Amino acid sequence: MEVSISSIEAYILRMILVIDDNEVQSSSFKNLLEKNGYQVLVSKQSEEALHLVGINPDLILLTSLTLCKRLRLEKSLSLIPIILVSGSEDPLMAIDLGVDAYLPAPIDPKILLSTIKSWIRVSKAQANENLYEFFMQAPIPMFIVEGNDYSFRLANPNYEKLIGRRASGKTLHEVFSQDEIAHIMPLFDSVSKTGTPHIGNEQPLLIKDESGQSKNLWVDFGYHPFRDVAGRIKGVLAFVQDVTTQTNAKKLLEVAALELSTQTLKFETIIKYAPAGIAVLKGHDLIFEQVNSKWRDLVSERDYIGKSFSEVFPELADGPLPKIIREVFLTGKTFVANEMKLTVRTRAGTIEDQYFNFSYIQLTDAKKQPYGIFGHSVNVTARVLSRNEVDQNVIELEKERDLREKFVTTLTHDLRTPLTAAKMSAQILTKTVEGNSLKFANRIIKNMDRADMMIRDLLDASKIKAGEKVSMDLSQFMLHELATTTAEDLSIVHGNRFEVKGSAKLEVFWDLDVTRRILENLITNAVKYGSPQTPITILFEQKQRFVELSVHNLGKPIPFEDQANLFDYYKRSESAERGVQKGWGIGLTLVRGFADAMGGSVSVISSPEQGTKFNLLIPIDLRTQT
Amino acid sequence: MNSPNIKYETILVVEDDYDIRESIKDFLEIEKYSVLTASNGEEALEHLKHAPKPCFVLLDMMMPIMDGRAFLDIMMKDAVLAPIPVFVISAVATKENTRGSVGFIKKPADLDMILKMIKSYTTSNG
Repeated sequence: MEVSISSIEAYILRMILVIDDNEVQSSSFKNLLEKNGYQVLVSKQSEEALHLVGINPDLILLTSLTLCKRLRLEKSLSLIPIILVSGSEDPLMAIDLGVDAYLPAPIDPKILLSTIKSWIRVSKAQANENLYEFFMQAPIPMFIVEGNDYSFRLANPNYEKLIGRRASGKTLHEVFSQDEIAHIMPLFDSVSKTGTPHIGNEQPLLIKDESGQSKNLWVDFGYHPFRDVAGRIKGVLAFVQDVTTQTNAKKLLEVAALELSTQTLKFETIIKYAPAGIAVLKGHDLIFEQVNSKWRDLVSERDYIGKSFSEVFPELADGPLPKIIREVFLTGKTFVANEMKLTVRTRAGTIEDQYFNFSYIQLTDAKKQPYGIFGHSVNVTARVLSRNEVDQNVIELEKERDLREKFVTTLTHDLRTPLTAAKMSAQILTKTVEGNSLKFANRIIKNMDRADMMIRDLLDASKIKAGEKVSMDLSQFMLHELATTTAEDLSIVHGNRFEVKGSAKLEVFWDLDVTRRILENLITNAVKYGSPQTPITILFEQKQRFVELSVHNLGKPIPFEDQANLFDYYKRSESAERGVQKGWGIGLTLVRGFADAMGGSVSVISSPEQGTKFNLLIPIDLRTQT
Repeated sequence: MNSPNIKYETILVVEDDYDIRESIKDFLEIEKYSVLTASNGEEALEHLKHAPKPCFVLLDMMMPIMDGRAFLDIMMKDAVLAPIPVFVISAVATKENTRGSVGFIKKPADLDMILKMIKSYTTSNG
């Protein structure tokens, strides 16, 4: 009941409903009561009185029992004290019908006023009691603070439980720390000064419990002005609702949503900037849902989004790919293809074979149900074509090489046939002629042999180059004897400048013919590239199970940069190329090939001071070699 | 140079190249041998069916129709022919592919070497 009286502090305007059909009597009641500070409503004992009950009087004064039962049945009036002033009604019946006090008429005004006053007081005390009980048992934490220091006039157990300490009857400073007060006080001030409630939703509340543990709570709260009956604000009525669980759940959801959107953003970025074509096809019909720009660049410009694979690639609709993709979707088996050839329409509008690296992977939703497929593709046509070209070149080169080798073999073999026939005829001639004719016949034979040597060298070099080993025909011989005869044979042409150094008793189990050819090649080289007229030395020495065989000459050294490929097929050294001497350029290749075939090695040492020395290190007995 | 009154030992020369074949034939005839010639393995086998059998065979390896290896294989399996010594003259001869022969010499072969070989397997003119 809002009453705007502020000057009379103790004066409380109460309303009394007087129900009396006797107008004289009712107006005398009215006068008496109004004089004593009550507000009075008078009603006749009729339906009209019932219409007035909505006004919520503090007390009802009756002169008859007629309406009593009905008044008591009215919910809003059930607790309001009823006083009966009557000279005729039965007091016991009156009490049965819910009358609180029975005053016999005629009534002394003093007794009436006293009775009214005490019943109103009792009634209000009861109401306060009810309110207190409600307050204390309310399922929502509530408190009332009053006074300048906001002392807790009341704090219900739910509130004390929430803040973890006793509050009722204590001052704010006794309950809260300075920090906490600094947070609360301005709100209380604002509410108590302006009268405007302060409502907070999901506000953080840092509370220290009895053990000193801090806990973060989230609360909904309402701070309302608490007024006295005169409407003056004397404190703050507050309710607080702990919504920590809900708020935390909500915050988690928000974080999750943020995380999800971050992940989505990351995913989108990866797709967008991936160096390969990426597509997501969705649902049972595998409709393009997402493609990146690299995917759009794969073949030619097409519409993807919302279309099926076969719609986008009609030229592939009858091929294996749509079926493969469907299999991936249905079975979850990833499909990976390397350089798969597909006949597609290109940007130029032509239909061409192009090559693609693919992988198609099943995508599942959160419930592990097939959602669609993830496609990853790179157009590798340029790479494949250029490699094919290289492969083709290699094949052609190999063909050419095979042909050349076959040519050398055939030529040398076929060349030997007429040489043989010519040599044989010349030999027959030596049986039948004398003098100059015999000399000429012998010269024919010698030159036939020279030609044959060259052919044999070519054949062997060709074999060595092809990676085959030269076959060996092993026999035991004296190395000194072979070196000496070889040197003697060569001195006929090159003069007596050869010296053999080594044990005359050293026996080797080698291929005699191959050994002679090694010596011939190295000695001929020494003659060709060494300084003229200087001695050429053939040295050999047993070193445990090996024999070191060397040919040494003086003169200009072999340039260091030429030494590396000195033994390569057809690679005569640069300086040899510039020189005047002619040759096949296969001599050293043969020497190395022979050394390999003999299970040994060959090396060269060349310097201006020491000259050039070719060294072979070969096992003394090749029968024990595999 | 053959005379019906003197019994010469017969050499069979199997060689596809005419000039080589004739050169060997001429040389051996100078050396007083009777010489039969064949230009491939098949022709050589024809000669061997008829008496008189040669006492020595000079064989080339690379020949058309029937090569030296196939010829050697047939001879080795034939009880009558197997004892006749065969000597190989070939550019491609190796110990392996001349199995069944008494030896080989690589082309261009020295006629004196061939003669030496023949003499070591035949009785007369030695």
